[in-house]
Amino acid sequence: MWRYIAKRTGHAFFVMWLVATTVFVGLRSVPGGPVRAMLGQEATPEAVARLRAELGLDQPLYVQYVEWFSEMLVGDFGQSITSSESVGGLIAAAAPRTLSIAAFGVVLGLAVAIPAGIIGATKRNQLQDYAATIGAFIGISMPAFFVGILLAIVFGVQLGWFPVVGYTPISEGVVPWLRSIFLPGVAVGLPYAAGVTRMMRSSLIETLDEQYMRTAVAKGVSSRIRLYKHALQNALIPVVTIAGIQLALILGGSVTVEIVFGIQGLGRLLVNSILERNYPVTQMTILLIAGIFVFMNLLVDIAYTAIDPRIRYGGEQA
Amino acid sequence: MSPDDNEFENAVEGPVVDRRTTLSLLSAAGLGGLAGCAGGGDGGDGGDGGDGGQGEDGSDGSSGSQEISTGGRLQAGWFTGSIDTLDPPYISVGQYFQLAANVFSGLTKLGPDLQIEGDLAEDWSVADGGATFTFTLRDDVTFHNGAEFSADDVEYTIRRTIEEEAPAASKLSSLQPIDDGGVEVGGDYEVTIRWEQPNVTSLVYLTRGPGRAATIVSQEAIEEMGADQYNVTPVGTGPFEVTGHEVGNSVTLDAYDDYFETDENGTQLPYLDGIDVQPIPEPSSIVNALRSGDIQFANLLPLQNLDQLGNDAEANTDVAPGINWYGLAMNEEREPFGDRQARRGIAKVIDNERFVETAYFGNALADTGVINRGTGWVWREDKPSDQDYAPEEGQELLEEAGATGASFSILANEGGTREAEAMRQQLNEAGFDVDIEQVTSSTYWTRYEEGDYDTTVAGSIIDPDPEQSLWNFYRLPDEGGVWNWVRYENEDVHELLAEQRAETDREARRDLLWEIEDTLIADAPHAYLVHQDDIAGVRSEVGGFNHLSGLRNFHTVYLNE
Repeated sequence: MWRYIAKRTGHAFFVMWLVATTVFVGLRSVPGGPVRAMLGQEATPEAVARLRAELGLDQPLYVQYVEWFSEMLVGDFGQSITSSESVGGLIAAAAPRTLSIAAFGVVLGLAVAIPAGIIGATKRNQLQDYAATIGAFIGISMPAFFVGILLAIVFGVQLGWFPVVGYTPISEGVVPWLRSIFLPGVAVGLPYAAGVTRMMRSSLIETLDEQYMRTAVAKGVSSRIRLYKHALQNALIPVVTIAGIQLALILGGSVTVEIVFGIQGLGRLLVNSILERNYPVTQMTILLIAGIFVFMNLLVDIAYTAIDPRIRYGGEQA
Repeated sequence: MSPDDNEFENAVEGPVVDRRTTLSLLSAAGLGGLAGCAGGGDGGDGGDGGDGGQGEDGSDGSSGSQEISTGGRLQAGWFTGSIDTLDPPYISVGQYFQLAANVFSGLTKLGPDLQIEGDLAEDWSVADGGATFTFTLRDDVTFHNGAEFSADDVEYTIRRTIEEEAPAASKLSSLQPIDDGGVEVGGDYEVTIRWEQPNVTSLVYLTRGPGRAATIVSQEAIEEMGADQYNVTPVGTGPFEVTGHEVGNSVTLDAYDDYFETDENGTQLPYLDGIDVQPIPEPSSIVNALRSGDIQFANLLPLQNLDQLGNDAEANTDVAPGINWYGLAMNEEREPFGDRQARRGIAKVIDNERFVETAYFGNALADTGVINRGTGWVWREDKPSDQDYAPEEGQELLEEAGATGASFSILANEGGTREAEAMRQQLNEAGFDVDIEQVTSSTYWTRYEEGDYDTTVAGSIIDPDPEQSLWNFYRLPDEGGVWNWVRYENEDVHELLAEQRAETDREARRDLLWEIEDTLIADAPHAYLVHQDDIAGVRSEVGGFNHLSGLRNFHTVYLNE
């Protein structure tokens, strides 16, 4: 198994390099650059040329690439072109906000999805099942930013229960922190919950129809033990896959939700930097998000082995 | 020296330029919108200026007879993704400067009743027909780091802007060389500024906002913290100091206790303890935040979301007429826009009133000229009819030019989609085959500048001096027309622009500007469309906000208990 993990980790780093290189070249192949947008209409062509030279943007592409990559390897992620702040600092400030929202969204999503999926499967074609299914479809159909705007209007503007913009760090108190991430967390968590609910339900239905479950019934195993000990454990395998992969949904959703709630997380940092052609910030943020995806998938694969001991990799025997 | 020169010099001597002259200067400098904001007026030069400075609740934003409470922190939202630059000469985004004007001071400022007053300058004298200004500076001013302000800081600020070719250097392009008398320090608190020729608008350009030609920076702070850090946490002499700035997340301004200004009762300004600014780029979010009370002030309200405010008793709009112009820029290097008949034909098939409704939700003034209504002194209703809406005439012109049904595109960035859509709709209805090329801002500016576009909706956004705007847009590209990205070339306009720049007689200058505008309307390098309103959001607990178009000064803002 260790050999497998090492191999997969190697693959992961290769993918990361590929992402980094693609983003580097892709960003610069689009017409336009950051300088005119930074200096505005007032700047003379000479001032534009001077700033381009200062930023090293007049160098050949391979020179810029080698410089950026070698500096990145030693932990120097460069400076934001527009504000001159260190990219590492910007990302370090933004990441906790996104991770707070994402973590809240995942916890909330799983807390809703797993019971809803179980209810849907065990009460198949009953009122509870229909309610869970309709709820899931609505959740899948509504993008996170739309949910966010609705939540902000109802719970922020009308009821005044939660702030509609801004983020309070946990260092300023757990309750203010939770209040500030509650609405964005729900906004990304609900679509996530919807996807996981559907998978939980169908997987559990399939498992409950397995022959070994009928055997358990014949042996007189109680329905509770049948469900939680035998069926659920097996049904969770595809759910874990989906739950992991759908983290992409959380991170994707966080981009728009952070904009809606005025929170400078990784998503908003990325969007701003792309619009401003802030190359160093865009590159590192995409690399970080890609890293989260790649290593999340790796963790999901590894998690299989914990959930189902029959699963082994790399030709190793159980 | 002519009698006119003497009259001009006397009129603009310090320490206070009277209201009438200020209005003239503002008009001459294209800042008449500011004048218009005062409302009422003296019936003279300021023009009506629309409903500026008036909240929907009818308050005028000034303290009036209301009791002023000091203290408290204002929660403000800024309708942008981030505030990247606060270093004055490097600011190229109006929203950034709106904030920076609360951190810095200029040599002059616009007072609450709109006369030009000394800011860091206590008094000044004028010579050489308006080409030389000698300023006596205040001796009681300190920077936020405690350093004393002196005339050397003025020289340093101007020298730095020019030598570093910062964007604001364009405002100093007609200054004499600094080491050749352009800036002469005459003592700790005296400095002389010399322009190459009489410069009627220089006092306005020397205001902390919207001037920026000499908004005073701290050499000591720049050298100590480095230019990069100064860019985000600068040190000035204004009423608020930057005590925190997390780019994209928040800017924290605290009242500077040693700020040199007091109100008329001798109370120390600013009234607020501080301002917490959050960038909020999503249109509905900034309106929601204003309605919920998360923010008490929104620097801009997105037009498409204004109806969300509805009948909200607490959250109000505060409108001032915009000092800007927008038009459909047509790239003359591409067919059919090289043909004047074709351009005029296009201008005539566009219904500006309808464009205002669809693109701006009615929050703009439809106009077929380049000079905005705020510049009352030079504004006129009766313009030449060459760009008036007349679809049949337009089609005839297009037919003559062989441009009927032409295919072309409108280049638009993310902020200009609605205008582009509204324009496409009208042009397609007129028989054209028009597409929209939607690109990011960075791509947009590069392509616009390099002439890689057919048409785009563009104009002068926040620095609306008719002279400077016209100069930059319509001088020949290599001789001052740095924004002449439609590639318009007309020797007469080129020469007239130079002539009016040196003209100190107001009425003569007005006639020259009208002549230029007449030619532009006839030549149609742009199909002129609108002047957009300037709309801020203010909650009812906020008092003392005096809305000058394009500016957001918090010097006298207070919070009602």
